[in-house]
Amino acid sequence: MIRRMNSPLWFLVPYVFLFIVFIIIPVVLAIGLSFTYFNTIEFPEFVGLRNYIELLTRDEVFMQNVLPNTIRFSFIVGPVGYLMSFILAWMLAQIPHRPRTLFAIILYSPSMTAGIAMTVVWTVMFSGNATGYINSMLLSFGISQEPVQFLTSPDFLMNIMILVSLWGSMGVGFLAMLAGILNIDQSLYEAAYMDGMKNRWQEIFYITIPSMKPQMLFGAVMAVVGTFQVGAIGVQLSGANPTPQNAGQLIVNHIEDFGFIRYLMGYASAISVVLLIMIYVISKATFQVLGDKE
Amino acid sequence: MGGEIVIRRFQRKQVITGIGIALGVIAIFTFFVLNLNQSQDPVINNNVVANTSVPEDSFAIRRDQFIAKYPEEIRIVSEPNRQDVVLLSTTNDRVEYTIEIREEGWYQIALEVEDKTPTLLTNRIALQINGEFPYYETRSISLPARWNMPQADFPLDRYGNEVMPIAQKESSKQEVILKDSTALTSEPFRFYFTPGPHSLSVSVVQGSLSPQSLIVQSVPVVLTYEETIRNFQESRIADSILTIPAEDFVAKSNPSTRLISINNPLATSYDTRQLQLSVVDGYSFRQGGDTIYYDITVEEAGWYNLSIDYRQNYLMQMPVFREIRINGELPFAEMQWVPFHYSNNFQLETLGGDDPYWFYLEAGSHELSLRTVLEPYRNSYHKIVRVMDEITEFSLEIKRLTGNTQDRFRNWKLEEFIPDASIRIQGWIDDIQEIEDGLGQYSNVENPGELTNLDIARRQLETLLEDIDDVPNQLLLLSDGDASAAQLLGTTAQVLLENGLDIEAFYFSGNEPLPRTTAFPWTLAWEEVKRFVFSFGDQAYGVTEVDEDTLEIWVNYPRQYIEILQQQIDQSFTPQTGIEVQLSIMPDENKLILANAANAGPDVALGVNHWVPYEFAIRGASLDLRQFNGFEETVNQFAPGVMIPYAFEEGIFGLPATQNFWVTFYRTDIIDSLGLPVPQTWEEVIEILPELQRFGMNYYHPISMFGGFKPFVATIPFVYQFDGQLYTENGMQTLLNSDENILGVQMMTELFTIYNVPKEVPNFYNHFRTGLLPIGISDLSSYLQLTIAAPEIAGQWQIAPHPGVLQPDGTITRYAASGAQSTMILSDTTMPDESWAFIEWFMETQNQVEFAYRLQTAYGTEFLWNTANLEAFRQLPLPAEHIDVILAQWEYAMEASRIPGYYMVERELSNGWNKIVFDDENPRITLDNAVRVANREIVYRMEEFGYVDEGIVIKPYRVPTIYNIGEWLTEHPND
Repeated sequence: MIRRMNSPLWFLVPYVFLFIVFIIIPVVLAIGLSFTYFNTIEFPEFVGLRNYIELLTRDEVFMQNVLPNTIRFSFIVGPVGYLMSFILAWMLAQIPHRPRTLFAIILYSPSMTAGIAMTVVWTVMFSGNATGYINSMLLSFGISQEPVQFLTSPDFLMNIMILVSLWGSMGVGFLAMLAGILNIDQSLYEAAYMDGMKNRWQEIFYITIPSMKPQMLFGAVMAVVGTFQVGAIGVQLSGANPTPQNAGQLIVNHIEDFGFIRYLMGYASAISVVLLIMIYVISKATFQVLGDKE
Repeated sequence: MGGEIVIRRFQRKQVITGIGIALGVIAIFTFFVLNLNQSQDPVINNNVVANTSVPEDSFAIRRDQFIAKYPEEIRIVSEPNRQDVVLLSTTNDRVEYTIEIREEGWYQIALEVEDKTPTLLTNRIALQINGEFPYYETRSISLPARWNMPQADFPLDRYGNEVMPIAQKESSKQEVILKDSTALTSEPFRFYFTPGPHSLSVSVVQGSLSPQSLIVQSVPVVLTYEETIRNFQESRIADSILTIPAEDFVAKSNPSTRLISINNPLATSYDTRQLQLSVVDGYSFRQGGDTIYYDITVEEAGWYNLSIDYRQNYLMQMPVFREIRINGELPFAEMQWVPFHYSNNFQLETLGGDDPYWFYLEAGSHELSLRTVLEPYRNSYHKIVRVMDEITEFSLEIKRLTGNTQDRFRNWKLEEFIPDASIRIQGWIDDIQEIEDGLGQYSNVENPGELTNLDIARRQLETLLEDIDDVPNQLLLLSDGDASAAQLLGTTAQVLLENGLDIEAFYFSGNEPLPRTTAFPWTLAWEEVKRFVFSFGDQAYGVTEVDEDTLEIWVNYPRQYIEILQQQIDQSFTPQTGIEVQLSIMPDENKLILANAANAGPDVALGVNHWVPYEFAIRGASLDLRQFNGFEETVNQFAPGVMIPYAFEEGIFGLPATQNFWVTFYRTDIIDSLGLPVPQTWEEVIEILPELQRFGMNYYHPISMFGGFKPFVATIPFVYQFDGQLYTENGMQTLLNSDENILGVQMMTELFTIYNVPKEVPNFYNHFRTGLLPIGISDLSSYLQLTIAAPEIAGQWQIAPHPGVLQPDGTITRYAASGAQSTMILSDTTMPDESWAFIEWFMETQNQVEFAYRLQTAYGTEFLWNTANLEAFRQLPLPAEHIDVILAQWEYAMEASRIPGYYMVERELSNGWNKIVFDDENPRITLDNAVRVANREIVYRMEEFGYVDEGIVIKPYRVPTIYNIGEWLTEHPND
């Protein structure tokens, strides 16, 4: 009996338990709720696919604003943030140990302080009042005649969201890439120079990137998933959900709007399932591009 | 070695006498040095006083202009000329006295008076002598009441924590010596009388009181410490130590002075688990004139030192001052302004420092009192205010000259227009330097932190002086904005008047050493460990299981409110009705929804936002209150318009508890000096804008307070004031694009597009204080901020009703939102009748007044209970003119009607503003689009709630509006 119990699989128990409690059950519940009408007060009522049908056929804001915004936001912030992470990681790898650590912390910190603290900085910076930093500069140099409404005007909000997100995009992916670059065997570079490599560009493309594929993949997935999950930023900057004229409305905001403002939990769950599927598809695609083919 | 033997050979008594003599010598020396300091102090120099902006006829100036002549031992009592007891209760009610003076000279005046004011307001009188005001200050002299603390132990809340008891105003006759209520001059007023008859008249400015005898008496002579010591023969130093915990005060002059508890195991009362009140909260004991009284009983007559365990972190590296009296008299002159130096932690200090002062106390009981005095800061304060005034005036002159151009590359020749510009700025620099030097002398460090602002202001002025022609472009350094010299000076002037002082205990001690008052670090650490362990137990006012027949109420107000309300319930509601009530804190409204979903909700929710009852009602989760007896009487206490959000179908599902108001705030000094009227209509607002903007100022509309989303609070006045409606009668469509609404929206957007009202203002309060936005519409929160936290403009602002639209019949419709917090009964309750009994009891006028009163006496004036009960609001201790304005505005109190999907109308109205203002779109087209989007959502939600099926209306939805809300305000017929 004891021998039969004696299996290495036991070591998986803590992981499986946590995974089920915190990942599987919520996901299953969300999928289940997405087929119901649930107003948070009364018991959920089964409505079949109605939520999905309404999402695709009736939800103007989702189709006209939320989806385009989310795609535009993720396709800029994701790849650009990814590239910046790599470039900065590579640059940091070129300098001595102590300043490198210091700069790495400086670059990494915005992604940790994301959220309230960060938007406090940025809302003051972009404040639409004549005393906001940027407005006050523009006014004093005579560039503009009256304060520009960066955060409430739909012309600016999205771009500012992208800017602020890029500023905070040096996250875990960046650290992984930095570690990856530093772990590359130096003798590879020496050997390559012996074989006739001429410059740093070749170094990057022939040695650095191929040697750190796992980290590149990890960084890419983190960047994609991260940008889809971001939602708070537009709401925090503009101070409103929905954002003015839905200019900065992302999927996560849309979920919050339906779940906690309109009390349509079932519908909100349906949107979150759609978000889950989108993230899954895109991260699969990323694997296809960057993953090991063998 | 020899020295020791010598001392041993002396008798103990001789040693003490020796020490006494040594002390005396040192005291004389100290006093001499102090005096020397004072005579060098430019601030106290009388010539300087004459320069300040204090009115010429103020006591502070006059008292030094005559030769001192003080008759001794005179007390002339005069009765009112009317024989009957008079009650002065309306402004300018007066009573006359006649006195006969024999000896010429200075006298002080005391008045015997009974305080008859039922509220927290302080009585104020005006005093005339021979038909004239002797001093500027005598136009309004406050007679602070004496608030007696109950003799019993502190009441405990149901968790064993001590709660601040309710003080009672002394109603018997009191003899009050007339003095400056701000304590900027600490001594009583002195009046100069020539021999012969004089007529005096006392009239009431605020409050109601019954004055009796008026006493003209000689000014008491106060000796210096050295003289006092010399006059005493007795030399016995007491052996005992007398501890007076600070929480034992028997009376206070400011009803808000309160106690707090601290985490110090060595405090005079402390418990790890329960909160014990042990410290006088300096924040509530900071204004000039605030006094606390202690009764002390001395067992053993003799000489004592007085030590005080205090913390003073209110004025950074500057002292605060207290006047210390024993039995109502100054023991010696040094007690007039006792400095308490800056300290971040509690520290035990013996008065007099290394050579402590000795106080002789007879056996028996004595009264010790501490009064906040600001006299040492008076001259600096007045000077700062004068410099500020001059800077503001100078900056207005510049703005008249430059016409408020924004072009910073334009060059000016300032001195051709204002020839003395540099002289004036140099003058202010010298003044500020002088103020800094004067104030610096009170501090025990170089460059005290509290004066940094003065330093910066001075350096900014020096920068301006370097290039005088650039001053018009540098007004940010001078007078505009938060970091300007004028504002920095204002901040300093303000803090100088706030002399907070936390006190833990007093010790009268002789030979006995003082106890230790600061705990060792390990004791503190052990306390923290214990507290951490206890924190796993039940928390006070947390949500816990309650008995079957206890009414459970979740309250969305801060803990202080809950403490007071629970007390009031336990003392009055439960005995009356036999219903037990338990209050719990609800920090987050969303918790209510989740708890309700889990079937763990309370019976009653109090303090939820005014739109919450509707959300619950439409999902069947709150109870219709019209079914209860007494609904009509209760609901008649409110303004009908505020009931709109609680109406759903045939029922009313909640009641307002508090109420907000949106009114015009304006700076009387600025608006008057520009000669502008206070606008009553939007047309008039537009008319004053050019004049305001010419001086770089503007008008504030609350739309600019909200960021991306402009809620109904800000937008709805433009609908209802222009006779618009939000929805059709059957509630299935919005009427946003009706002609009336288009007119309203045009006004709402043109203010920002054509007339250039600022589009984003994060903080009206700051801009109002600096004068950049001297007029605008704001609400209760601004009102409280300005009342409590803007002393530098106290008395310089007023409120007026919200601007509106002039109707053909000459009236002005001023509809504005007024929703605040509300209360509702949840439908899961098993005790609906008991729940209603509670709501009915709580909203009753007398209980609302009582609650508001208890709250403020326990926690201070900032705890204003803005009750929705109109009659109770009338009785709040606010200035009568403000109450009148607010009640007049509440005749137009309303809230947006709620229907399923209403939020889409709110959003589209907000988006409409955004599109018209930023994208220059046409209002009509914008609103047409808005209607399309909103209607879709309304029909969708109507379908959800069963009013529409397949696009066909199957059940009409009755929309409550200000016109028909009356139909909801009756009880359902009992059948």
